[in-house]
Amino acid sequence: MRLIYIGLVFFIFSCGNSPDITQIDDSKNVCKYSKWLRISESKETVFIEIINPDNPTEIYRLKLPNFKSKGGSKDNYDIEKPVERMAVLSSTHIGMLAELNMIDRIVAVSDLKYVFNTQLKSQQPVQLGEEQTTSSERIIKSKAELVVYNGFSNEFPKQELLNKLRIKTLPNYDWRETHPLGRAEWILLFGYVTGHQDEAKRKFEEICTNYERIKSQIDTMTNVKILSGNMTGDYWYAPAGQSYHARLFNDAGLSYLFSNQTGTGSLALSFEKVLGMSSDVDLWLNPGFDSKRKILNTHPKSKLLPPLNQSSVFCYSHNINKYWELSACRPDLILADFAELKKMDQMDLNKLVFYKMVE
Amino acid sequence: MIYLKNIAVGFDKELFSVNEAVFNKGGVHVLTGKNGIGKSAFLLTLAGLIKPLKGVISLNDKMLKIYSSKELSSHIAYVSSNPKGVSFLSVDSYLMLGRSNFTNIFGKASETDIKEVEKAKSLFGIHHLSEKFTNQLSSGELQLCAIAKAYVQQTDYILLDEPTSHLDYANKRKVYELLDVLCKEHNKGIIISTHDLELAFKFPFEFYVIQSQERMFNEVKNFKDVEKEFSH
Amino acid sequence: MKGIKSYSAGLFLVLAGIVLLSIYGLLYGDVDTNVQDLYHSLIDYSNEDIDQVIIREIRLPRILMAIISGAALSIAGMLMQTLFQNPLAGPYVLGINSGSSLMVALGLLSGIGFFNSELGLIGSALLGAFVFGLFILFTASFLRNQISLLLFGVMLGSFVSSIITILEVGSQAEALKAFTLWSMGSLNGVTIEQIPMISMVFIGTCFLTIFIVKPLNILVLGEDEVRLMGYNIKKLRILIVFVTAVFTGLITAFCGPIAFVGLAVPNLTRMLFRTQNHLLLFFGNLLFGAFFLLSCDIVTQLFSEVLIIPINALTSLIGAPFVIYILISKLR
Repeated sequence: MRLIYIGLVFFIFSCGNSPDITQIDDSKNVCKYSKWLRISESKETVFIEIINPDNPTEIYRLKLPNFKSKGGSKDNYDIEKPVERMAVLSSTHIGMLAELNMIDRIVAVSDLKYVFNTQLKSQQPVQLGEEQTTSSERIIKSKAELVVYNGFSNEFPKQELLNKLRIKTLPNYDWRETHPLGRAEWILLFGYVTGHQDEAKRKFEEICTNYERIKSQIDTMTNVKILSGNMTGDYWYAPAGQSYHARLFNDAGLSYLFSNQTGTGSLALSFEKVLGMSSDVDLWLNPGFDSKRKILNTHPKSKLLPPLNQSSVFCYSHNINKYWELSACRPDLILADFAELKKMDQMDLNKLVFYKMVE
Repeated sequence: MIYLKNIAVGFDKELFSVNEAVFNKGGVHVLTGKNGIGKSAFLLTLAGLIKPLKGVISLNDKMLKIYSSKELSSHIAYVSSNPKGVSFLSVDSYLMLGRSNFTNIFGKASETDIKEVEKAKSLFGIHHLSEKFTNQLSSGELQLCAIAKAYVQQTDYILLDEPTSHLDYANKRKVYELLDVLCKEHNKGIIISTHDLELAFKFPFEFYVIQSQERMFNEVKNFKDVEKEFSH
Repeated sequence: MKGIKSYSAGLFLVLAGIVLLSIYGLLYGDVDTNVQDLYHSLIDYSNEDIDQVIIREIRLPRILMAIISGAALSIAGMLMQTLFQNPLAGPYVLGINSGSSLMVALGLLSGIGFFNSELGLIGSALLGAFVFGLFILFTASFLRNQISLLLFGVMLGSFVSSIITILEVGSQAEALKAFTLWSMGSLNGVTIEQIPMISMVFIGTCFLTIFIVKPLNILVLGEDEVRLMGYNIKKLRILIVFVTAVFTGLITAFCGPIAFVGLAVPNLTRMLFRTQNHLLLFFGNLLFGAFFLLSCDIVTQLFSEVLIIPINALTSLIGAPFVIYILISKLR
């Protein structure tokens, strides 16, 4: 009997002391779709959790005051005032801040040649280069209070140095979200750190409503087959069945050729395989080039692909900066484009926001 | 006949000079001299591999330098003092390379070529080495093979640089005997350099010394004259 | 010259192997095809049938290129090893390949229109190979020591790599991507329309090689021997470099750099045939080289679902240990 009691005690004890993965309960989580971002808001405090997709026990936690309310004790906050000056390393960050009309808060970017937003271009932000080789001197010179990076590798260079100088660094894993709305939901992160969470929430609601509306209006009777991706070197890279792009295709009611290939990342297929599967494709999306000549220059054998000659080819490469900036936070616009493309002969090319026919 | 007049021998600096010299067929001509005096350079010059620094050499009344490589190879064969052994090159193949002037464009041997090689192997007593690779031979065996290779080339003149240096006494003797036969029975013109003088003098060869002090090439009649050169 | 029969038997065996592997490679892939498809794709091709298209436009050029490249690089390696009297010589090690790479890099990364064209690319690869070949030949007259010459080749390769790195940093993203992909090496880039031209250049250069087998045989004994046997050694050297440059440049232009074939196969052929008869070695290298690269290609295709193995990785994986083995046995 004693043994059972001891066992029970240990059991309860160990349960109670199990390492908690997240401190923000599902019920309190403001984020509904995103997998790697969790936010809880109380009257005084806001907790933000950013989970490392490659190592879910590694959580970046932020505690900040709820900037809406004036009060709040001088508790040990990670961010004490609403962020006024930000360095952002991805186009998606720029797009989200643009939606919130906070472009003026951006003081540094990766590379100006990838920027679409004209206001930002005229602001002449400091250029920091690629994520792994960012110049910490330039970050300091830009007087950024917060650096938002992508997290391509585990550590941001000179992270400790920057933190010592009271410059916060935050990874933004929007690019790891496979749910289109989950990706857009990261707009809330920018809302909360700048004290504009209400506007962010409102914007996001709008996007979600739009998205759902477009989705529901799509004609499910017609079947439009699509091919996606292109050859790089010896292999064809295309989104896998559970990836972000595949979900968009699916929500748009498009019949994606590789939708039954499992995975959330990219597929690497032989050209032969793609050739064998693509005879009756209606649309070829996202080849990564804005002209057929460029497609053939890079891979001459592409001339054998039926979709190149018989179908319509569409891509966003003619204005790639616009796509990279806006696509993450406006999945509703992508969906709208897809819905329009699905109309085939009845599509109105002028209505397309990101996509253009590749000729 | 090989004829030399007012020759200066050397690679880029003159080593010695020759006033006049004649090398006829049907004789063995032996070059002697101190180490480094230029015996090898002289043979290389006669073979056409290096040019004389001064003067003209003629072969059969035609200037040596006018001959094409191909023509020259049908008149003169040269054996270096340190023949090279190569992996996977059998003695048979090695000897057949000496028949390059006779084999077809792809190097294929005819009946005659094979016969000549067999003859050479018998003559030089190297039949038992036929299948061995040249890099597996001792330096003496390789030297015999090199001489045999020059033999199958069937030239009027054969130049040999210290052909007996790696051989034992019996083989040294055999080589000299063979050279004697070649000059007498085949009317070849043989020019060799050697340090095996006592043995060489046993044969009816013609001797020459390259004098170190005067840096001159001269004919000598007997062993005593050669000794004189080496005593100072 | 005994044992010609056993050489022929061996060569026929390898030839049969090549034919069998080729048929296998033409029939099997990601898409199921059958013998009828194969027959039609070769005899009465119709580009409507996707199976025929796959066999004729994708698999056939790749397999033919594997055969030609394997043969050409191996023969080039044989020539290098005889010319420099060094079993560790090869188009890569001595830097001839660096010449092609540099010219292709200039072409693709500098953005000058002519070089981007097919003709420009091939021309520049060939020119680069030839110029560097002459340069190495010139250097060989100074660096008598074999090891020194190899080191020089390695240094030359490093030097060219640095220049290419600088070119890469300053180039546009698309050009950089194109060059990076090229430098990985691939047999897939060749189209069936290009095969006839490539084959003709290859066969022509083979004929050239066959006609110099005799002086090559003599060359193993040294350059003096070549002169003594009546050949013009200067012309021979340049001719050998020219032939090597054409073989190497041709393959590098269409496939990018492919490592170790030119280094390992000639050594293997010599070790198996145990001869220095360059006519035999020529055919041996041609067939062994073709068989080797074709096998590597088939293996790459077989594993492509599970693991993507770039062709260069496979040739290095097999070639490098073999070369190390040669080094060790040479040192003993």
